[in-house]
Amino acid sequence: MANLNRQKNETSFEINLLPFISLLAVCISFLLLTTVWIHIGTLDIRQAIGEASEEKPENPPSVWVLIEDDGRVELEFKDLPEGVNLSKVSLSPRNRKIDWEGFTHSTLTLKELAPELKTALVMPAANTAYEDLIKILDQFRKVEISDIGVTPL
Amino acid sequence: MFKHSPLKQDLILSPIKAQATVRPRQGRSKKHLTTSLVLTSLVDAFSILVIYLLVNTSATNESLEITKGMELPLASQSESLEAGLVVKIENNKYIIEEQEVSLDDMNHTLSQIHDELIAQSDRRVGHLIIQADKSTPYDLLNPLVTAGSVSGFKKIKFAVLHEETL
Repeated sequence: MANLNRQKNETSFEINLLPFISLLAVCISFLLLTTVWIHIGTLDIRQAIGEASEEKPENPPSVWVLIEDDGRVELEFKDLPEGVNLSKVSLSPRNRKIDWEGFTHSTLTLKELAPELKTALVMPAANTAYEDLIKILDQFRKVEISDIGVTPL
Repeated sequence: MFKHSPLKQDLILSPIKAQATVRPRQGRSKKHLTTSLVLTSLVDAFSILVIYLLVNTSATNESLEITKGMELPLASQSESLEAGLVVKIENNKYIIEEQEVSLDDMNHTLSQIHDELIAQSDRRVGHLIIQADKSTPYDLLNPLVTAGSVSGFKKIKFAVLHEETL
């Protein structure tokens, strides 16, 4: 009887956290083992071969990027809207590699001058490394030029 | 009201106090030398860790097997991996579904696989994923880009490692 009264008066209680901690520990171990730490993604290109090249009566404003064997990069602009004048840009190589600083600067500038530019066509050389091609595609995407094609050799 | 408060129980009575020489309290406090771990903060830390790991877990079920020695290029603007037919370039050889394909047969093989994917209503239809080492020259990639487009693959994707930007 006295024991019952004591139980009634007790207003505080303790939650046993140990099972909860065990559960969390198991979850953490499982997630640590199964989580993919390297995120593989893709960069898409649009190839206008066959059916895809039929439509579009008017060519959109575009930038053509020519990569030479020695790392020289030339940017040429086509079908720009009236009033936008962009001259051809030629970037000399640095230590036989593409001048990335100059290329980044050029893309940022052309986006400022022609924000409607959404299309790019990359013409790599036979020895252009996959990494360099990806860097160019990535840089164009950074400046919101997302409609990118790569020409065959 | 809170006679048996857990806070009260958590108090750690000082052993120095118990050793006082002026007014020794050894007799009174002997049975109260208790320690308890504060588990709440540990549970909080664990919970945060679990949430972080759950969020970090990739939502996509797609995966790509990277061969030893192959290093993919980095790109910050990459899209998440979707289902697609993977073509690997390893040691100047083209590998489709674990089988080596010669350059001459590339168009034919890709067209055949594309037709099979359509017939099976496979979710890889129309998507071609090119996987190569970052140093691979474009003249090795070129046949795949051309053959892929000709064979009916509408989306050609280059496999990259996603680069985190701050």
